Amino acid sequence: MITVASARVFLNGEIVGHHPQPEELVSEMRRLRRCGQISNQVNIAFFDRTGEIVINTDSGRARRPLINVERGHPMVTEEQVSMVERGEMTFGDLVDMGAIEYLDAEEEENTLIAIWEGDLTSEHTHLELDPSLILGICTGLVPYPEHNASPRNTMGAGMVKQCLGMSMANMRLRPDTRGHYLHYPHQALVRTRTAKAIGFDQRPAGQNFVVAVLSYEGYNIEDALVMNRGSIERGLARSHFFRVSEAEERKYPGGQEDKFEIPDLEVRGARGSETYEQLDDDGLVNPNAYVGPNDVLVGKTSPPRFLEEPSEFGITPQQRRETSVTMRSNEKGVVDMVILTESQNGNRLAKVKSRDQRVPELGDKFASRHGQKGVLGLIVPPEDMPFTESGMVPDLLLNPHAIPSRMTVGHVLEMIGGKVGSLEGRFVDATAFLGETEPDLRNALTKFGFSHTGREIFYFGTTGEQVMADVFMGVILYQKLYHMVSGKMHARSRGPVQVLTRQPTEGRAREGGLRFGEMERDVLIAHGAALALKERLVDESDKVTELVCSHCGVIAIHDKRRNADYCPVCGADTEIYPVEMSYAFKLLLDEIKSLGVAPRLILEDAV
Amino acid sequence: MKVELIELREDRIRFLLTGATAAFANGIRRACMSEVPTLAIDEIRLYDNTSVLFDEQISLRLGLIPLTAEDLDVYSSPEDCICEGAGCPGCRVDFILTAEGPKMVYSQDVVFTDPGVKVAFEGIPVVVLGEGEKLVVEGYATKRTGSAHSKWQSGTTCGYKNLPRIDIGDCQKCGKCVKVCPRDVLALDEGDRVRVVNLLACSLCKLCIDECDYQAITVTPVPDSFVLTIEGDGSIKAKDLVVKAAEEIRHRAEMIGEKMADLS
Amino acid sequence: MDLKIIKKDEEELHMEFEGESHTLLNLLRTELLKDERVMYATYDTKFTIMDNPIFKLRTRGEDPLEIMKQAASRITAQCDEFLQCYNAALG
Repeated sequence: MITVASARVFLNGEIVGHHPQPEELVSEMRRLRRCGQISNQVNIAFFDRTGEIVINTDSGRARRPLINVERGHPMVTEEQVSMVERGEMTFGDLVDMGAIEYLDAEEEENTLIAIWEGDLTSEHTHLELDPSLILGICTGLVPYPEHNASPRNTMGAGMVKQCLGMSMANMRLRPDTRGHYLHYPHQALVRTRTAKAIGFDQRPAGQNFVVAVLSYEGYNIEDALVMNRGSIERGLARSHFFRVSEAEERKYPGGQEDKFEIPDLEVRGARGSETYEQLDDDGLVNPNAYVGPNDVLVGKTSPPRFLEEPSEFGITPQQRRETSVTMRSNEKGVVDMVILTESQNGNRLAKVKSRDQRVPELGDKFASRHGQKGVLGLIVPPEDMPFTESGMVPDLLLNPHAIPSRMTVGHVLEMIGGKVGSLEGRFVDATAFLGETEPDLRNALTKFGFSHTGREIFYFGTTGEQVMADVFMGVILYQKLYHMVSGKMHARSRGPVQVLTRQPTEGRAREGGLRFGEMERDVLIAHGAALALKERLVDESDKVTELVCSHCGVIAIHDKRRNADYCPVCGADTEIYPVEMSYAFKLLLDEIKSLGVAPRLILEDAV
Repeated sequence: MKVELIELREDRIRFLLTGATAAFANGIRRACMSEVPTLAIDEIRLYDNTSVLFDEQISLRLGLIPLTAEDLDVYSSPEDCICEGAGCPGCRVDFILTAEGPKMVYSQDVVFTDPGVKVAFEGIPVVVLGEGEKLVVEGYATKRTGSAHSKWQSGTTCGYKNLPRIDIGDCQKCGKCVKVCPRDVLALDEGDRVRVVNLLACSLCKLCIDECDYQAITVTPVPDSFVLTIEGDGSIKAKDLVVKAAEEIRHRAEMIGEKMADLS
Repeated sequence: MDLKIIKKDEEELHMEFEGESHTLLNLLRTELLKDERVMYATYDTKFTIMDNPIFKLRTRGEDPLEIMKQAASRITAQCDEFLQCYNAALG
């Protein structure tokens, strides 16, 4: 390493100068910060190898607090810690004193941080307040993370953000566009201090499942899960999904406006009178009405658009249009709440909240907090589930193959911890590096008559014979993630097409088709399945037959009234042939024409 | 075949059954769970629900309340009823539930028109009502088996294990097996060999075999002997539940015999 | 319980049961396998949520209906014996 004599100084990314004694500058600035003369939101780092001093003061950096260490001794004393606990001093006071400072990612590069006070040497610069503070909020919710392979902790943290729970206490009053609500959320038996700090117990998001690690008839292969039908029927993992649909009586220039009403049968686009049966006289659906896909929630009519084509009789119709708000085509539910209020513009605004009960079904996604996700593969009657001598059956059967390659030992430990917690009637602390130890948990199991291995003797529910190997069973927090199959299942044979390209629409909400992409095209090419390719790309998509003039190569026109074809360039006398093409190709020709370039099609005999 | 009673409570019975196959013991167990019929609330009409729970949640909670009847045979299941599923007092037991807050609605607030039908346990909380909140429910219960839905399970926690057989051989009196046993099945007195003091508690976990350095202990399951634990949901007494389960199996087997005879 | 004969000849019998589960069928199978005249007795359900179990029995030269009848009566005898011992034990 070469120590550059003069280092460049950057302030928030901009170079502001250079300094001949970088190390002194940096330590002086840090000293000023610690005694309060510079704001403690300033972070300074010195990179020796590149000869740069980086100073950051902008907002939005993730920083974390660390205890200052000087000459091997922490700047926070035991006495100060007790004063903070008693309330005589605050955490902020310690920061102002310079005993604790907040470091961002760049300044942390210049530190040597000890995790435990006993490890401090004269080289160390900082001491961790608590090893669990190395992790952020979501990773801090994962129990025993130090026993998991790190990518699994990342995935666990990600899925904690997707789980259903009781996110708001006033959920029944708020009109959120989408909301989920787990019926019987549990506080986690195996918990971390981070969970306590963020109040996870007041808004729990998961349930403690009794899980046995056992293959079941091949239905829990490849991360699928097998659940007990009895548990589901008693309300396990049951949730509600809410959606709020909105309608506004807009006002248009010229005095016309929308109206909430049951549309008259003469209004353009009106559906039959049965579709409006559930609406009240004011056009709004009644609460507690069952609404299915495409049912009308708010009957609304709008004034006619100005650009209307005259009808056959030559009179421009002044009909109102039907613009009712309907349920999405793939959702159903019960109307929970109807709100009639005023929007910011002063227009009448109607909001209809519908709720749909989601009982766990095949295809719903569940996960533990250790990155062990899986989809429900089979729901088994409780008498078919393997049972123990006391008659206990597990709620969930997890495949043993999910554990070895993923190395999520934290999952296994949490199962033992949860078992101990449910037997002793207490919560188990599994904070990173500080959690209850494995020998303690195993000894607790023995006190209650269970084997310290956590394994029990099971008997098959179907045949009654004993399962030859002991099966590991425990209690662990499982979460229901919001990827439910009712929100994903989608099918289309023929349906709506886009206006511009005449190709099938995109997206489940628009009843779209699935894209046959470039790589799929390569597959058919590789198989030599030429007609299958043509079928996918033309016949099943945007096939159109256009007339082409063989003489000049432009697209010809068919005159419906005289029932004759003619070419716009050559007239009516040339030879005009029908050619099959995709509409996207015809669109390409139109776009090239719009540039003033003439794309001419040269026709050959058909093969 | 022999039956020996181990423990009898109102809601739970434990007995030892010898001279039977695993299929038979399992049959009794499964019949207790899913073949013995009982009553449970099936359909409700909510006239007023301003409580904090949704209609669907209230209906699940009401359905799961265990019900008991003085004479269950008076009722038939909807499929077997003379009304052929249309609904009549022979297959439906009506009830009403009216409550206004502030109070907690308990299971005993469910009142059936048939005085012989009652909830099996009082004090099961249904929903808590705040000031001015009301719950007015009318509905009926039907008689079905646990195979239709878990609310009709008469036996909820039913299991068994093979009777263990513990043989002590050339014991060196080190006492390790006694220490490792989580159920205190073994004991070691001064100067004596290890002996079994609590055979029925043994769970066949075989930790003692792993601990023993001298292979002096063997634990094997007796293949035709079972310790059954049958616990009900309160709708039928546990001892009657087992009888009904066996009668149900007998009835089915008889029907097979008859059908075979018809076809011959 | 509903029973439908799918295949029947001198030695083999296939039946489809409706409304029955392992409770009865496993017991029936175990009882049949005790009989030496049975070559094989088994039952299987294609997909547990959707299909009905199909019971297959093959004998060694005997009428399968008769073998079934005898197995069923052995089961009823077992139930009777059990109820007798049970009621005696409970006093």
